[in-house]
Amino acid sequence: MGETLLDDLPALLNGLGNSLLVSAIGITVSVVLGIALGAARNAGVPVLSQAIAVYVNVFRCTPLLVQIFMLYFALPEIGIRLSPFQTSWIALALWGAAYHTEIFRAGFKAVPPAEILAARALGMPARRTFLDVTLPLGLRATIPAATTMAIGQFRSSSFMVVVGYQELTYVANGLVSQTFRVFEIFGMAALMYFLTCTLIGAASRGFETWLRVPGTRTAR
Amino acid sequence: MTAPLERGADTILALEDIHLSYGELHVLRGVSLTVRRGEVVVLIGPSGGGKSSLLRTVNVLQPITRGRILLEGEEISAGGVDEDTIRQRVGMVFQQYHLFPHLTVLKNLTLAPRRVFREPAAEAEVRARELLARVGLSEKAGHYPDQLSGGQQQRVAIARALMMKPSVMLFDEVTSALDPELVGEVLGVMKDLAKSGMTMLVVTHEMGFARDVGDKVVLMAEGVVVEEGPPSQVLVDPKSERTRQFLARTQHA
Repeated sequence: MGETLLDDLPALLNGLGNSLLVSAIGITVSVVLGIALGAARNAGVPVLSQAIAVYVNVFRCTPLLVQIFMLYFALPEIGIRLSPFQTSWIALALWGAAYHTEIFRAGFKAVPPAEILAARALGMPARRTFLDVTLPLGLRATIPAATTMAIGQFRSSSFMVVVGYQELTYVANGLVSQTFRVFEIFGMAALMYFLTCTLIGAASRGFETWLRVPGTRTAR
Repeated sequence: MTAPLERGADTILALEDIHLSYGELHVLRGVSLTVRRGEVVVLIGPSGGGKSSLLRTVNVLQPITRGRILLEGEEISAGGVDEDTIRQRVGMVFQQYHLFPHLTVLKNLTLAPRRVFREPAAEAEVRARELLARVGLSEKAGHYPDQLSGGQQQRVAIARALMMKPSVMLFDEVTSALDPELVGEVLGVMKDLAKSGMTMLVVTHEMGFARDVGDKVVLMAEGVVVEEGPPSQVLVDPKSERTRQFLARTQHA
């Protein structure tokens, strides 16, 4: 904490790094979980499908902040103690996976049944058909929605201030209480969130273009 | 109209008294049909007569309500059969092509044999290029389906089905979605295929194809076989009044 914003920059960047770290872990875990759970929902696996629906409903219909409190303050009562770092990425993963499950389920459902039928008619087993046809076609359709969710997860890493994890908002808040330069420091933090999210969005659009199938009009 | 059932070595496909109901709707009402090795059997008849449903039962995409289907003497309509293995032996081409839009023409052809037979990529590609040459699309191997015309896509779909080396090929109104000027190129490929000795069961509205290529023409209406015989008889001098009606209507169209 120095005289000018430049002196505070290393601390803020360190906070941003921590935000990125828990977000990267949380987003990765939630996307992988979302694809698997979305596929199970799409396939209508009995019992599992209903269990997933309950999970999705619970995590979509309770505030993220309450979920964080449950993980950090309620779990120790039954003997599970999580560090602020663990709480942060687990909360982002569990909360995000509920949304990603629905995003990927919708994407898999949007794959034309005729393409799946064509694969089955060639004698390809159901699981193989999912991996070679439904998954690649469904994932392309879900990139924009999944990116929006990932951006939401990164921004929501600021909630981890409540468990004392040293992410960007926590660091900024600390600097403000010591220097009282509220506008500059929170402004800088906001700019860092903004630029990071813009970059994620741009990377996602690049990914979409890269995966675009030549000749298709629908992918545009 | 039940033809006597032959179960000689040359019978590829035998349908015995096939019934199919979707709830209240009785789509197939006791269809019997025999397809011999190398034979081209053409199914004609009015829409809703059960022709396409019959093809789907042969490829076990649609379970039947009653009856038996024998593929090369083996019953495939009973419970507990491995549907995937049967489908590998029964090639199917659809009206709307249904190519995999995210894969090149070459990969559309090699995907199933590589996954199902674990055929090495290089070998599958050699066979794929041979088949593409046969359907006149050698130069399109690297293209994506949406870069091709309907007629080209349908020829790719035929080649894709042939990659599995099926015992019989089913064609479900494969020219019905095509512009008139593209119909000829697809029918040409099917004619060549028939000449090469492929066993084919073809649902079509192309009476010219039925006449020129069919060994046997079967008229289906209201879920039953109305008449069957060589094209020279069924199409020229039909015995049944229902067949005469249908032919009169198609000729006016």
